[in-house]
Amino acid sequence: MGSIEDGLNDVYFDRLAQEESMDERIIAALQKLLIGADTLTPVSIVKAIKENLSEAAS
Amino acid sequence: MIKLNSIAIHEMRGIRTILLPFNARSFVISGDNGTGKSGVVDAIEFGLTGDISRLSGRARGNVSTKAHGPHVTHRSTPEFSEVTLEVLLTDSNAVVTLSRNMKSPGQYKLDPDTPYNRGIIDEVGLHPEIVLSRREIIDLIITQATDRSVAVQTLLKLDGIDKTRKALGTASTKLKDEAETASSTLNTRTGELIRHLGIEKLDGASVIAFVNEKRASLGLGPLDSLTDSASITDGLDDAALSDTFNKESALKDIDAAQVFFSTCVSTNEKTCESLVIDLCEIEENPSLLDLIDTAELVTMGIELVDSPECPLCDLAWDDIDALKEHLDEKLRNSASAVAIAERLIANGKILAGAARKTQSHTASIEGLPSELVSSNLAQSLKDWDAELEIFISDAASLSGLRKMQTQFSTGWPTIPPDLSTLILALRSAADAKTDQSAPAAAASALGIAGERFAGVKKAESSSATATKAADIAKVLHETYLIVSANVLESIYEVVQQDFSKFYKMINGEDEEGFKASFKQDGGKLELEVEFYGEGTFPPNAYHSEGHQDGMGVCLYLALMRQLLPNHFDFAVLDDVVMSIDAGHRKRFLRLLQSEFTNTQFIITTHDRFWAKQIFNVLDKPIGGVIFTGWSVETGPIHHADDEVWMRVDEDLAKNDVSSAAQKLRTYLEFLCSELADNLGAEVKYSADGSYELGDLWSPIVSRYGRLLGLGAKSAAAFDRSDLAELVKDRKSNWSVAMTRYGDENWVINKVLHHNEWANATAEEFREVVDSVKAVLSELRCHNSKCESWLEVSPRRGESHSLACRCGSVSLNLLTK
Repeated sequence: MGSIEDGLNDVYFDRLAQEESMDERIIAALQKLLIGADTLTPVSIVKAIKENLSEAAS
Repeated sequence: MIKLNSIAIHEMRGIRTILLPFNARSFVISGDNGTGKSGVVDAIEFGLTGDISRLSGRARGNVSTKAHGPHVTHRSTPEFSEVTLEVLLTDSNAVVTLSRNMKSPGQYKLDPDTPYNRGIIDEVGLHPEIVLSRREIIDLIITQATDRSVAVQTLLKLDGIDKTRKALGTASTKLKDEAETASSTLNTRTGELIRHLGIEKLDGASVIAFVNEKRASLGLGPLDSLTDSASITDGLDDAALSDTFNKESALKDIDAAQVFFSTCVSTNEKTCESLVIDLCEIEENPSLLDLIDTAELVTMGIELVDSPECPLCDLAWDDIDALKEHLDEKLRNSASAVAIAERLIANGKILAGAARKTQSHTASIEGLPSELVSSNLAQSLKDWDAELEIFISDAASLSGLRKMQTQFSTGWPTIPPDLSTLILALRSAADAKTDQSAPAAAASALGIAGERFAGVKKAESSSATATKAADIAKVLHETYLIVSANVLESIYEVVQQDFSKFYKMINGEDEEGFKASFKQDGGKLELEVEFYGEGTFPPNAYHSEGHQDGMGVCLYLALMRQLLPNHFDFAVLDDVVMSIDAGHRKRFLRLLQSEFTNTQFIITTHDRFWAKQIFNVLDKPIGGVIFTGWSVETGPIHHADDEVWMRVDEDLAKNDVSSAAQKLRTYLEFLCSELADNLGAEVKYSADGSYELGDLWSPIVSRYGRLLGLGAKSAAAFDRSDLAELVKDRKSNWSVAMTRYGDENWVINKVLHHNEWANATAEEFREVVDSVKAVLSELRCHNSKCESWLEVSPRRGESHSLACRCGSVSLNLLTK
């Protein structure tokens, strides 16, 4: 049974996917944090953004 | 999701042993205060979730489920404390047995134990909000907007949304800070380069012009573009690059440093003033200081929570969520103090940036040849640089800023007293240095330009990456805010519609225009309600306590419908409508009946009239039990029909006629007062309202016989052969039951009426029990799905009908 939060996350990631500036790797990393097994903290979010930015650059 | 068929409770809270048959129907537990009703509520919650919320979570002090959940006599032997629930899974219609022991609250036994069944029970375990008490009503209605927001978010399981919002916000702030620092570094590096080049603004053409002029003087070919730092010095050998001193550039650096050092205090004067004001306020208001300290500590603590043990004080909590909620509440209480702390940190950040800029100037001087920089100046700069490093570190935290209050009052940074003189001496020494040859000056100028250009490029790259990261974090955060606001707004819209509708169902006769509105504002959820056309106000502004209680229950029901669409099958309402008068409570029951047809409600109340009202108003079959007393030794003394007979049988099996007689007498005394009321029996009035069994039994028996007679006459008068047949059957059964009862009358008189149990044997008493059962059986509906007691209507005046709740028995008592 889906919770309100699950429904919100679905809408959120749909909306992010439509953002032209948003790299899909970052969306995937954030999905892992929000609805996956990884822990969501400010530090983990910062790490996910930086890692995927440097991957995109390389 | 689920309904409950039964609960068996052993040695928990105020209960020793009890079995209550819910039969997946609504059920009323009534009894005076202190008779153990809440013990049943606690046991239901514990059985389903492994927790008792009134003993855990915020503001519960030293009370906890594990320590205080077991019966007081088993506080050191929690393994004796257990709940067994027979649970109907409404989706699959399967029945499972769920047992949970107080020794291991987090674990439960399930039979049959399948992944599907366990999944449902685990899901139910996430919903402690199935229990509503008056405490939760206060949190929903009679509270501050911030607390209401928390209560609503908790009930709707939106805590995760708040956590995500905060984490994204903090990440965004952190990356924004990093981007600002990177940008500041880029500005510093750019400033160093343009100072060296002697230009106003950095642009490619100016750099190329400077570089090519120097290259030309050295006989090197011109550059068309600047691709990397190496290209500026292309063609220069190592010997030419080894002299890093350039007199003109050095003088510019020294002059820039001198100007910066002499103006940096006044440049940041306003920032310092703001810091001093806030730091003074903190100092003058110790409670504010405590709140800020707490907030800072708790913020660190929340980050460290990874088990039910508090990382700040090592106190063991029942569960990790309760600990987090406790810490979150502390943070919420510190909101205004936190605002001051945030302003201080922001100002500290500005000064830290200025300190870094100061360091860049000290570095440019320290990089000059050692023969120019006096040992005093070198030492002074070294010491100051170390101080600035500490300053930058301290400026990042509240505790660090508080240490520097005096420094902010007297000006920052603490410029070494002889610095200006030492720098003037340095300038003189540099100026006095013999002019370099033109080629040497050009080569060193190119070397410095190349180095600083590389610094700019590196800072540009770092700044671009940091800005991009910050932009991404901002989009992630802002998008989440927009999406969550939209989702929550649509949810609150439906909730406020349902809430208003439910409330009007209870109070519509005089509040037809009632409307409620929610306004979400950051972490606050404002609730305002219409008051008799006079405008909208907070719910506790003008409405009575009874109306507020009604609002609380209505809001709860509206929220639960949102939380569990199509699955709101079960809820416990723990003494929640006691401030509502009888008329409005009746309408509340109609609300439950019409809007929540498939929900099983377990309702506790200390008001027997309300309990009776529930039975009378709700059409659907419901069960109930009345707790008539309580003691530590016995737990609740109660009268659940099935259980009374079972206990009497147990006593007789042990040949304990005394106990069996006592139980039967107590039960019949309770039951007969209900039956006398149901049937309109003519009981001799007692001013103190107490009636003995002998006062009630005969009037009931006589009254029922007369009612059957009236029913027979009416059936004949209206030529209703079907009703005549029904009455005939009932009269026949009644006659048999009464004959049997009459045969045992001598025993009943002795044993029940006069308590002369000593003269009866177990066998004789079993006959008494059976005869009483037979009589009582005739006073209820024979439909096994109903079995409700027959009642006359209306209760006052001439009775028009005798009926059960399901309609199987519906006798007209009037004749033409």
